[in-house]
Amino acid sequence: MSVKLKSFVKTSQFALLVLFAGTWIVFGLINPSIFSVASFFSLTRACIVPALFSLALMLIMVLGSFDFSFTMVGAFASYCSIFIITELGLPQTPLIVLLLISIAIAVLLEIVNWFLIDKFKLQPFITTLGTHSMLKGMILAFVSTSFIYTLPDSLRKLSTNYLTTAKFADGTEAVLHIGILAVAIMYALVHVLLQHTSFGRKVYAIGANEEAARRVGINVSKVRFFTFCLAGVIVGIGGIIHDSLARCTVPLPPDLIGQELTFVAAVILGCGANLQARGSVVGTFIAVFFLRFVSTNLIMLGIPSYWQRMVTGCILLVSLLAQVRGKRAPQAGKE
Amino acid sequence: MYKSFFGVIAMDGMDFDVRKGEIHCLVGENGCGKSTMIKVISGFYTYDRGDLFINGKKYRKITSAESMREGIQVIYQDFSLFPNMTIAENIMMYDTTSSGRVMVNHQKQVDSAQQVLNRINFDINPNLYVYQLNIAEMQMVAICRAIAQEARLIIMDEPTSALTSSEVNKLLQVVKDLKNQGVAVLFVSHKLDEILEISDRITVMRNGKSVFVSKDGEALPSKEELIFHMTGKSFSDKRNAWNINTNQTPLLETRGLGLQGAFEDINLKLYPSEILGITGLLGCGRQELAEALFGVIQAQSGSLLIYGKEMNPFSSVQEAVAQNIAYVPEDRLTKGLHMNQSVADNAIARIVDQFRNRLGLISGKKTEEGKHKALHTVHIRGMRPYNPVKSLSGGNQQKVGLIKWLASKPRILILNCPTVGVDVGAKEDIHNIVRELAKEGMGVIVISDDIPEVLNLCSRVLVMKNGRIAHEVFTDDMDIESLEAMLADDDLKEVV
Amino acid sequence: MQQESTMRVFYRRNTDTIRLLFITIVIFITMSSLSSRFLRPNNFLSMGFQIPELGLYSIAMMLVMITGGRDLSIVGIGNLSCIVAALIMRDGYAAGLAGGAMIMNILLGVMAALLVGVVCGLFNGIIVAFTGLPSMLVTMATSYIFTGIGVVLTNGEAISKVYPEYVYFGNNSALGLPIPLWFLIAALLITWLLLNKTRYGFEIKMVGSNPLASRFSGINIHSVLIKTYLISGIFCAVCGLEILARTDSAKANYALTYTFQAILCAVLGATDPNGGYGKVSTLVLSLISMQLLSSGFNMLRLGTYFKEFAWGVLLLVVLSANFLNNEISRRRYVAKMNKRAAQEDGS
Repeated sequence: MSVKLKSFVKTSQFALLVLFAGTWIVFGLINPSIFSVASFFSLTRACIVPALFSLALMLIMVLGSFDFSFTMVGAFASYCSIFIITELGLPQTPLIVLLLISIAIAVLLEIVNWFLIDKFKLQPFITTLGTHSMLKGMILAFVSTSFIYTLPDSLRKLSTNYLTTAKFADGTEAVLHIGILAVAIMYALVHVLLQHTSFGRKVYAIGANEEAARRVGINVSKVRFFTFCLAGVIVGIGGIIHDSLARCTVPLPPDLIGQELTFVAAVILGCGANLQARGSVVGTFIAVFFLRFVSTNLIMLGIPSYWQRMVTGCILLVSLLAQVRGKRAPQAGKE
Repeated sequence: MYKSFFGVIAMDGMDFDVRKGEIHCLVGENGCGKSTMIKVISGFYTYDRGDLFINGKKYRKITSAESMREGIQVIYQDFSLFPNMTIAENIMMYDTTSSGRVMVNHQKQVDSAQQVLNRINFDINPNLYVYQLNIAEMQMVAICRAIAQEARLIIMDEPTSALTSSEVNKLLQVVKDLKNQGVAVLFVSHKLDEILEISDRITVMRNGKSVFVSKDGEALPSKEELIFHMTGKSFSDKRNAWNINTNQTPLLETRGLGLQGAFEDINLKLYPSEILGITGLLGCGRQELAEALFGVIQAQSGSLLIYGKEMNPFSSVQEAVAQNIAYVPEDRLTKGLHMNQSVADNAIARIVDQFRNRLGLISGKKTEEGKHKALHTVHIRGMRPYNPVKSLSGGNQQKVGLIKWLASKPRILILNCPTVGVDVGAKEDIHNIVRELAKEGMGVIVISDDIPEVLNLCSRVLVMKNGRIAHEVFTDDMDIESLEAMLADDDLKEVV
Repeated sequence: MQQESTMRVFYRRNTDTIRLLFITIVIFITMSSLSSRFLRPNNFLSMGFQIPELGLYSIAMMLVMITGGRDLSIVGIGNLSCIVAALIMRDGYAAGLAGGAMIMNILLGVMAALLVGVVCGLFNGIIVAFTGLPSMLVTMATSYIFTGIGVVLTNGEAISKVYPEYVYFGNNSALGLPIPLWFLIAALLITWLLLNKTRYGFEIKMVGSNPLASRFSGINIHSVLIKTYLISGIFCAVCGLEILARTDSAKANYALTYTFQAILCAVLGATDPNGGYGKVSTLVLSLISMQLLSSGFNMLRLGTYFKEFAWGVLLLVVLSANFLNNEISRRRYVAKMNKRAAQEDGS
């Protein structure tokens, strides 16, 4: 065990954790209420949705591919499933059915991405940019433009379901939302999948060297298919949880669509020393919390919220530059 | 008694077989079809004629999965490892991918990997990541991966080219151990000393044919015999007398040029109209020397004299280009040409500046003329100037590489392995072009390990060994066998 | 060299232009038959005012894409320079400057904005060239920083009210065309000159198609990359100035989606996302077809989202068509080779 601990200390995920802890302490010393349990609970609530979406993106980036459309896929799937339920007038639909519909739609859309990237050998970034734009137009043009405020009963119940509560010093209450369980379960599952199953090892192998992966007899196309499907499952669930937390569903939720880069930032920050296929579940988790912590707590420190973007940018740039370590790639400037 | 891997492979009528538990060496010059053959056996290429038998079973067509199932493992020159995983994970990769088990037991994986490592007495922590290893260690990992797959035949493609002598000795020991454990090894190399040291049998390839197979139980052929078989006698024995006036200023002279870990104390002179050969085995420093003369890498010590003017070693390609030096690299694909750009654009890549008009803008008319002129310096059959270079054959691509540099009218031309992967006809063409250029006064350095080529083309040859110039040879009284012997005379033992 | 008819040579060298021209014409005819108001001069005039922003950003993106990179910070640079110019001109206008002083003030604003473009471009270029990090990630980080600086400068609010004389440029026509459109035309001409008539233009394609071979040809890769991001930064700054002139306001998060529209436009305009190829003529056609789609759907009162849908579909169709086209010709080639081998076998 001590060997394992020792090797963990050397990883960049650990460095990130130390950085996070350091920031926490510094922030907390300036404003002690940041140390409170309530503050932690509200941070957790804010992290639920970003954590799920970043996880989906990380999976695809470990594969050495890219997905720009994942937020749109999640929003599309959840909006459509709730829209269908509402149109059919079935507010009593159980949560599980809702989730299944959403997952099915999301998986289907990710399969489209997979098909274009794998079969037509198109560039992942450009392709998913295209599907993103297409889905964005499609949902408004062919589904609906209206906001749905009366969610199905199960979702409404979910939104007020919490594990425990804590109070800030001024008496405002913060809750530990039940959604964090979903995050914990998904992260644990994906971690086990990537680290402890042969499928996960294949994903990493393809991300490192596709040609070598073929040489050891990996069916690259098949592994890629299941990875995209899995990402679809995660964003399908993420979309529903997002809507439940927001207590309404809109075709283009502003905290998802257009925020893709924030999720990319979390994955990059989390994957540490090497950009190529070293995506880490633990790292992503820490990075999501870290970025969210910095941005929500700048205000509490008396720094105007509009500094947030710049601080995020600086953190990101520094973490990128830290990865260079004197080695120069001949492919300078290539994507 | 023993199962035989028996293959009759028709690339150009290649008969060849490997038996259980033997070390079989496949030797041949560059481009003789060795690597094609490996790809056929491992199922990456299909063959059109002939039969392939593995374990007595006839295959009309073999896929890479089938090849692996029959216990054939190839260790490629790039090793095909996954740097983002640990040694244990790399070694047990096949186990992971093909066992059908869902979960990976890391502890068991490390244990099994350790057993494999023990089998070849390789002492390393299996939990290290592969990106932390050096080349020799990576190769050991690649071998372990093959063993872990219960390989019955391991094919090693030029396994010693990147290793130091002591690492080579270690590798040869491992190969012998494998043999004792009943694994057959097909060892592809052209370093004759190594081959003679370890092999049970030897097959020599030339132009896609097996020209010599040593018989069972018979003594191995001598080095001279092997060289004879490798080179054949088909080429012309024309020699060039060295008739250079040494009183004139050399175009290029180096004094004590050195670079840590690559070459040291290089003193050479290149006279106008001379074709100077530099040869040596892979890893002897010829590659680095060539790149240092062109400023791709910077030499650390010594100095250069260009046209009699002393200067520091080049620190960038631009400096070398400014001195009218041209360099045609050994690898067209990654270093030499822009494969997706048109033939014409590649041809004028060096000289676009010349097409400026009075406004400083590049004139379309002048460019077209320039392209036309450049492409007519060397004849390329069936070429369409606006098609991408990748549409041409290897030989023609190499000609485009030459055109690109000739257009800039260099005074010193450095050619690194100019005819690798080029067919015989184009090879002859390229040689003639080079001779013409030298006649016009250009100084040419040809770096090559193709001995007949060097003898044919050059009048003076420098043989490099371990980063130093070991011999200076005038070709008019030299024959292939003795030069090849000089080259292959590895001082393996004395270094250890 | 084999002789070919000039027509065929012309077709082969301009296949992508011809194909895109065809698509543009089809869109034009469809739109004009669907809506009677489509062909009115007013419609074209308003298109002329809308097109320059995306156009300038697309040029900036195309240049970086030819080197094989992506620049996600273009809108960040554009908005930042817009803000800097707006801050200078707003204060000048509030102080009641007129005549010569006003012209000096406007010039100062313009120069400052261009300087912002230069500095941001250099910043991107130097990091990408010397670290070898993927340009997409670098510019993603810098886009946060540039936009962030803009937000800090403006406290997150919109800056407005600059000289009406300056705003005039963004909302009026000269010689029958909107003034911003003249700027776009000038930028396109400059880009064309850069790409086709200078050594830099030649080198950028070479670097994009194979950086290592470029190095072995004596091209200074670092300088080419830095120049590219620099020029891209300047075009973004010009775009920022145009936005200020047209809208009389500057905002840090104005039209962030332009980044992706610019990529869309560049790729649709036959720029190779892997680097090494890009053409002004196809970029213009792709701009026009995207604008026609967007104006057309507007006319049909179908809302802006139809255009997003159509853009996405168009991109995917063009990319897939390219793939299928290559695949078919590859298969034909293989079949031809097999047939030839079989014939040789028989003889």
